[in-house]
Amino acid sequence: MLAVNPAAADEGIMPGMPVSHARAIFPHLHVAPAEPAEDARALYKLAVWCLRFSPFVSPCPPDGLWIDATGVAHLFQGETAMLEKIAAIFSKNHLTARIAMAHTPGAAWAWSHFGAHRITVADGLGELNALPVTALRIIPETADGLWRVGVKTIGALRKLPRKTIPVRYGVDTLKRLDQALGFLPESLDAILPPAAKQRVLTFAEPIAALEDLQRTVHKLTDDLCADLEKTQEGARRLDLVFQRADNTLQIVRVGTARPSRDPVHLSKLLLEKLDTVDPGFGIEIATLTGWRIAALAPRQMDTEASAADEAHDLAALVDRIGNRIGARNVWRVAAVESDLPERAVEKVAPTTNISVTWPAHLPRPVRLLSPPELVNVTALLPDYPPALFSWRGETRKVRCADGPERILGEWWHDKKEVGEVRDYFRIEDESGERFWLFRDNRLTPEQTYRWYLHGVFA
Amino acid sequence: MSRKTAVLQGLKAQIQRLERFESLQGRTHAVLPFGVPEVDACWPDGFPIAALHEVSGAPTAAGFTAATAFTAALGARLKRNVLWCTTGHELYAPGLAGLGLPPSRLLIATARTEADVLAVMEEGLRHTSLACVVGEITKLDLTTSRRLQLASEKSGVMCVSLRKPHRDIEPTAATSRWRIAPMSAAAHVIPQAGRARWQVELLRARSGHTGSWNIEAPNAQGYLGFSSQLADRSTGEAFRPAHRLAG
Repeated sequence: MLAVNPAAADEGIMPGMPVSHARAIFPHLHVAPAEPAEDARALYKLAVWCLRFSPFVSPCPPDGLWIDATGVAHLFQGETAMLEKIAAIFSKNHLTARIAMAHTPGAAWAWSHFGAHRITVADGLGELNALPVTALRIIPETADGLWRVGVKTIGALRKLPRKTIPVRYGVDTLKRLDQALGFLPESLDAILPPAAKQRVLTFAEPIAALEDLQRTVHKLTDDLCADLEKTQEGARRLDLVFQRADNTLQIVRVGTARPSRDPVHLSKLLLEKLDTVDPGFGIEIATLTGWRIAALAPRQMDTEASAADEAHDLAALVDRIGNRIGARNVWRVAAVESDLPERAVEKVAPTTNISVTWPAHLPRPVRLLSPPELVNVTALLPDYPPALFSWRGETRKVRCADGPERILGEWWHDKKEVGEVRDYFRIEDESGERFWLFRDNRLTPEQTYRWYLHGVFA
Repeated sequence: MSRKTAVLQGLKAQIQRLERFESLQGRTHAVLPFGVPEVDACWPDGFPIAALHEVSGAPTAAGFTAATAFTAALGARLKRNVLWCTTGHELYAPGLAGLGLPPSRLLIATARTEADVLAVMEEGLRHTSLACVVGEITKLDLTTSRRLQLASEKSGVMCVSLRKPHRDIEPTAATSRWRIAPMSAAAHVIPQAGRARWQVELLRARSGHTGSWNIEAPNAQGYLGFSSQLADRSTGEAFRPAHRLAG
């Protein structure tokens, strides 16, 4: 047995068991032959997909991925938030993941495999001492040997005289220990996104001045755009990676709404982000990778402004704003076929073509409260619109009302909505302010109805 | 023409030059009609598009939504893309569509801070694929407003600062300042809510004059309605036939 799923593990089946043994424990066990080549391919595909998190991703066979999060975590509002987001996306795609972030690849491996939680953000290297020696990526035989002489944790291993470790437990053990602690560098092979275009600048002397960095950006974008020009293509994602003299990376990532190979536009996007780069003791290598490449026909030079120009300008605008506040925060609203007001709208990409709109005969408020706010209501008759309601501590006398507009819950979305019936009223109070109230037609235990304020009209 | 009027006209022209209105007239000439002659008459040539306009609501719950609808109606009449910058999540597009601003022309930018809202507004004003940039903000100082005004003049993109409820309104470089308050509609025979009614005040109008009107809220095309029987016009003008729909 190479790997088992949680259900099998619950039955007591472990990796490493012979199949006959496992079948003896659980006769109906489903066994599939291992396909290491297929697994490696899938892992590579997953690594490519993970390039959305960071430009530096490296597969760690058989079942791991390294993601270099240097200079990337702030895009996700923090390190923990980044890991939580990755975990959420993975679980949405039915992938079980244990994720850890640490100062060195070795430590991250240790925490992800032996940490107590599914998500770990390790602050220092000291806590590593508590983890078992197996967490050092050493072969099982060595680990067994260490275990037998009582060296069970990394902390215990660190207490041994340094010189004796290679002799007694192999050179590899010391190397792995140093790599985990950051005494030895560990180089990972980053995968290049498929169909990417790359330009590299290596400097004889490390550069650090802002003007030099700006010049580098201009040079790299010019070259990359010239490459794209030759193949009539445009990129939608640019990763600028600076390798510093101390072997760490500084990453700038920008995206565009449409494929682009306009050096002025692209370099502007990159330059805006340059203030996040800390050159430290200097930068030795600068790499610009353009990916998510798509065909882009040359543009006709028009003397008059045309619809194509307008679309082009709009795409540039979306990039500039997205670069500042996050690409997901520039959006359009698309109409969704749903009667529930909160479900009738959907966030879509700003370049989406929208042709459908909402039915014009149903009045809708300009601002919608989400979630609807509970209001206290006095109605003269149970089925009547309210005569009086109080919202946010203010009691309002109703002057006139329109309604009801009956909206039913959508049971196919949520079981809780099966019996949901809302009666919406447009209500004008005595000062002329207009509100959208609804009565939840499910009786409360006290045999009354709840009223909510859902929106404010103009 | 008497000598007095000649002097007066000369002075008026000088003031217009000082207020940069001349450059506006000289280049773009773009004006946006409200469809309500009384409102349009506040400016010698009409409501200028390439400028910063300020819209605020009465300090009540529906005051801000009325200001929102007034702004949306401005954008609706401009017939091109409107960039709406905000920090909140309450804006409801189906409601705006009902005022003539369809989702295909509405681009929303949700920023985390008001500083970002202002930066996004300024960026938007440089792009001529937009007709109008709207920013929901609480505070606007003189320098920032001047920047927005200049950017708008340069590109011809209208800029609207939609002021969130705030205690004091500081001086800004805005070309016009509006205050919208919902008010009780005329007594209906049947207890039904018809078209909403607003008290629209033009508190400041550069190179124009101010006014206050009792107007019907915008219709599905974004045009305000005007019924003179109910109007309390500050500019006393000739009687108009009842219930004139602006168009």
